[in-house]
Amino acid sequence: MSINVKMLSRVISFLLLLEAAMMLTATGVSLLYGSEGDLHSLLLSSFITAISGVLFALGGRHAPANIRNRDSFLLVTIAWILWPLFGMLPFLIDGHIPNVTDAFFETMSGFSTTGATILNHIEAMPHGLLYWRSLTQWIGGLGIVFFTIAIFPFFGIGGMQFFAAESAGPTVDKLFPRIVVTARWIWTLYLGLTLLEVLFLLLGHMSLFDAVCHAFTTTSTGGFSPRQDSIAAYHSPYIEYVISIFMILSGINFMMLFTLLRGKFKKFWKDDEWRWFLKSMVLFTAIITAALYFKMNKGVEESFRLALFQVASLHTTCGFATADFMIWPPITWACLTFVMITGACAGSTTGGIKGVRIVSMWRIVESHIKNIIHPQAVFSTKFNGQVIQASLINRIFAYAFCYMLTIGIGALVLMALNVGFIESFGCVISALGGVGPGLGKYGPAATWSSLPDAAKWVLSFIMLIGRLELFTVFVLFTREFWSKH
Amino acid sequence: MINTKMLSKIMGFLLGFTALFMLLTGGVAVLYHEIDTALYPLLKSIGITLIVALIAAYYGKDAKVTFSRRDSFLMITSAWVVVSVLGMLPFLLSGAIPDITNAFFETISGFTTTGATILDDIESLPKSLLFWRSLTQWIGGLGIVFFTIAVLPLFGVGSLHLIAAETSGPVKGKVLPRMGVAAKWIWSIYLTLTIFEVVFLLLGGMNLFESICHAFTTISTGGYSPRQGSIADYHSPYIEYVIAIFMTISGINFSILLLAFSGKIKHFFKDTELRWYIGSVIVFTTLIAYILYARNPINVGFEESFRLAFFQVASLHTSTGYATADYVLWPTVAWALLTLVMLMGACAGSTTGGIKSIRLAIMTRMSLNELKNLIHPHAVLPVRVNNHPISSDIKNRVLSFTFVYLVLVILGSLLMMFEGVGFTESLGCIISAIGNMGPGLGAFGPAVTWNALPDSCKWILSFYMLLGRLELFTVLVLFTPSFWHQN
Repeated sequence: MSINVKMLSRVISFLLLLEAAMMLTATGVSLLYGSEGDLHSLLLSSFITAISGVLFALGGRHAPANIRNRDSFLLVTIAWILWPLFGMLPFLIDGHIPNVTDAFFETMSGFSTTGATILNHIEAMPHGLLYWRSLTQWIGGLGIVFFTIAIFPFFGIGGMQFFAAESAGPTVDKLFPRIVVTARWIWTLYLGLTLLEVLFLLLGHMSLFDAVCHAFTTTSTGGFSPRQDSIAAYHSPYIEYVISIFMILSGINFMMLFTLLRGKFKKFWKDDEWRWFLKSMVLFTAIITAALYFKMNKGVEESFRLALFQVASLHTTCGFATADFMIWPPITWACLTFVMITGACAGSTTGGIKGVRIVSMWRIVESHIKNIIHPQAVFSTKFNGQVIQASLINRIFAYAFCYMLTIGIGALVLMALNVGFIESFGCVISALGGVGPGLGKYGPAATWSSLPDAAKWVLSFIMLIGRLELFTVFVLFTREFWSKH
Repeated sequence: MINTKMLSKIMGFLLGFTALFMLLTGGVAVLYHEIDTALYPLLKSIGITLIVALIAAYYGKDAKVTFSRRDSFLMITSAWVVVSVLGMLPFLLSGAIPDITNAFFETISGFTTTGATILDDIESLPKSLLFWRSLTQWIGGLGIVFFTIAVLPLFGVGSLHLIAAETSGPVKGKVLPRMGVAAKWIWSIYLTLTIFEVVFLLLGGMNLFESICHAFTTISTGGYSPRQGSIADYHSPYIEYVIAIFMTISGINFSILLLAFSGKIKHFFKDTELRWYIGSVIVFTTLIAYILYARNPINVGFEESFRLAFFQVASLHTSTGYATADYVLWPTVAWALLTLVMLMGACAGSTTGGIKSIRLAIMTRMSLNELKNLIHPHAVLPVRVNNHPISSDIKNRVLSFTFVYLVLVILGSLLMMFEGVGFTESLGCIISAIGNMGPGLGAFGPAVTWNALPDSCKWILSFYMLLGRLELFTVLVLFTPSFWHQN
């Protein structure tokens, strides 16, 4: 049995038609602002995408109704390549980003909810395009939450196996009802959070356009902003606190948020992953607040606010900035780099290694050390009260190993392309975790436009594999995947 | 519980040995007529060490002959610390290194075979003290090979390479005889290699004193040199190749070397870990040679590119730490590759530090299996080393080790940055210390000593050298509350 090409084609057509529809909403925005020249590019792009969607639908007629592991891996990877491929058309056709490398990079940075930008004059862009830019992140975020919670657990990836009931490959009829149910509440929660944030931002005197764009990119922990200076441009403590809180909320496992909304506060509070996230946030905010207060002579409230915002932003891999942390004491941005790697909770839009794995690995090591002292005793490692299976342990560690290896190799490739030491690591860690700002010359005060083209393609690829949890893409490079078995 | 009397007895024994080696050094002092500068301080050091040894032996004279796992962990760690404390006396008492932080750092850098130095003027020291310095590494190297091959596996720590061999799990009764047998052949190989290197170096025109010092610190993969400019000082391609080759050999698992020495060449070449290690050396040498030749930043020819690459790769891969070039001046990607090599280390069961090839081999195969498992979730795919399947237990330990290693690197770097050291420098020093390498990165690269570091950092790094040398868990276990609880 080989790849179910027809079924793949059918699903892709759905995704492309969805994208075309989204582009149409951007044309609406463009019209609202008196079409600053971007209307025709948005309409044309939407049309091209829609036609392609129809073609794929035709190709997927009479598709057999079975989906297996391989189909889903291929599907997800193709989706995240096709979405930016068509999604970059508005920028290219309009001419605002004339270069394919840059256009693809920016759009991949959108759909992968990274937020790294090559735009040096963001505010000169027409409203329709700026809206589309932020929308790509919102779509990308929703897509990944959906896949991570509803689909990946069946195929053993995404770290959500702790929360999934089944983990054997299903047929379409078993998968469908579950997807529909899951989709409904994920969509509700996602939309709800977005709308709530728009409201709070409006109360802070942000314009509706800005509020919507920022809400799009907060809930998806993407980090794109229609302002060149990101959130620092508003000089508003209220806005900074609001966004900090919503970033944190967006970093929590959606299933836990749902639990919280259903009133089960105790169950939420006891979640191992949430507890880790909270402790980590508190620890690093404290360290950086102290560093800013003592070493940079900032006031207490300002130190705390700056620390909280930056930590929340990078811990949840969102990427908004209210300061150039590169001018802060090195230990602060070293800590920030660390949280960029850990990410926040699984089952959210965040990137990074994620709390569920970090907590599990830590506990396994603790068991191991106890085992050294008492070799005959049996120590089981638990997460949220459930024993972690040996096979899962292996997978978690293998993931972390591959993650670090990808960072190492990616950084070496960039260095071979003449990017500096700190910059290479910064860009790769940022891209892999879907964060946004890098380090050194590519820190929060700069854009990534001056990177060599080859580096931008490498980083686009890294954004892709980071968003799709590494293995989804790596598996496509194994012989076993393509063998007719 | 903890058999303090037995620990004390063994410590007395070890210190007695230390005093003996100091006496040997005293002989060197006499040879070079360094009576006031070195001999008297050495005699004083011997005196103090013997007194402590006797007190320890006396305290442990009625020790019960039981030795638990906890005893062994405490023993190993204490041995390295106590011997370093007494081993710094020659430096302190002679005034060669008057500062305690520096003296302890230099000594523990010796016994842990790291090779990072705080001496800005090495050649001004009396020859006998330089001999002692190199000797500490030779002793440390021998000690660690003995411990990792003969002792630790009996207590289930760091026993990876013995997958193909016999031992597994604690075997109380058979401990002493087995250790005795192991000691004999380990010592022979170690001594043989050292002597061979001395001969080859002499043939290269190096004087006897320096040949011995370098042989001491090559076979132990320590890296101390009696020359401030390390091996670069000789400007001799022959010497560079000789040392590069001996470094590479010293990175091989001693159990496997035994196979080669006893004629089982086929088994030697089939060893999984050896293949990974040699393969890695070849790959990195080629990459770096190519970069040096193609970029041509320092106008190097084909042979020189290869020689520079091979030497530095062999040096850092085996955590020796000699240098024939200031690699921080090389293209960034070149010294970044070297940093990766520093993390990797060579084979288990040798004197090298780092994560070690066998673990990397296992983790890579595990990761590949995970990918295959995603496609065939019900398949059972074992990870094999030397054609033996690896148990889940060992797989977990390998992963735990690497995880803890990286966490410690991150934590240590953050601590150093907190003390004001730069990003690249912090990372470089910590990776170098925990891997027992020697040279760092950036402002603390191979052309510079670590003297300019703040005192607090020197203590942190001394601790990291110990951690790395003793395979992390041996030391970390002492920090867990359950270690000290009654049963």
